[in-house]
Amino acid sequence: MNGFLAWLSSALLLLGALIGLIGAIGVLRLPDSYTRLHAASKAGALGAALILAGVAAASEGGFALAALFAMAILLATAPLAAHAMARAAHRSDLPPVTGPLGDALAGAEEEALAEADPRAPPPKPGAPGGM
Amino acid sequence: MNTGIAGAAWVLPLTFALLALSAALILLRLVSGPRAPDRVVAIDALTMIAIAVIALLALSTAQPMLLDAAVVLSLVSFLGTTAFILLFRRRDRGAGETAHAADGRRLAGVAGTGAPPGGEDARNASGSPTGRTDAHENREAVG
Repeated sequence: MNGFLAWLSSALLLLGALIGLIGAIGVLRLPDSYTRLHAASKAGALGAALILAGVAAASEGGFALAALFAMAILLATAPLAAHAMARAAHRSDLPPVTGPLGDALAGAEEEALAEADPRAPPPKPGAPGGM
Repeated sequence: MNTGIAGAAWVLPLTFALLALSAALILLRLVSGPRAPDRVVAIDALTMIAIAVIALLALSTAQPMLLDAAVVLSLVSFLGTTAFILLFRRRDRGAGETAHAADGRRLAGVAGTGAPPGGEDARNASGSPTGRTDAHENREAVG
């Protein structure tokens, strides 16, 4: 059993480092703030969580519990930060690089603003992603 | 604690090297990020790399104290990202017309629909920054 945990720990550490490297390549090469955030938050958080799981598998007792606690904290806070970051970037009018369907969140926000305040000017006629 | 890993002689240095390479790539993005959100994303990713490195140091030096540093660093990373978000929201909102108009032109060029510049100006003139904030709060109350 100890040998199995040792191999599991090695595999988790290497896998976490590889996934973190893939996330770093994504942060460097993707075309857009939102896609970079996608790479950083998903791959980065998964890489760090896998490394913490590897540390937990390699140790025992309170050491392993502390590593699992750090992993839980990381997995709880990283998606929150990424979500708030993406919403704030979109609200500060940073345009995403869109595909043929356009910016669906911008269309939904225009529609909700028009519902909340009927006296507001209507959305732009050429607005992408008319939802 | 080194005995808990199979092949610790090469797994730990290889993991440290991969994490250092990741940190170097993210540093390139942090230096060359064209706008504030890119840099915030890079700082966030760099903090996650730092958490992983601290956990590995705790394992290789057999000091459980360092894992508490990892926990605190992940919490501080969340708070720091939120603080940076507030910072660049306020600065972009007060940055004036030029950046906003450039974004509108870029959006129109990317989407290929050709939004008229008058639409952007009308939407800007319809509300001061505080007015836009109220509109967003109304939208949250509705939705």
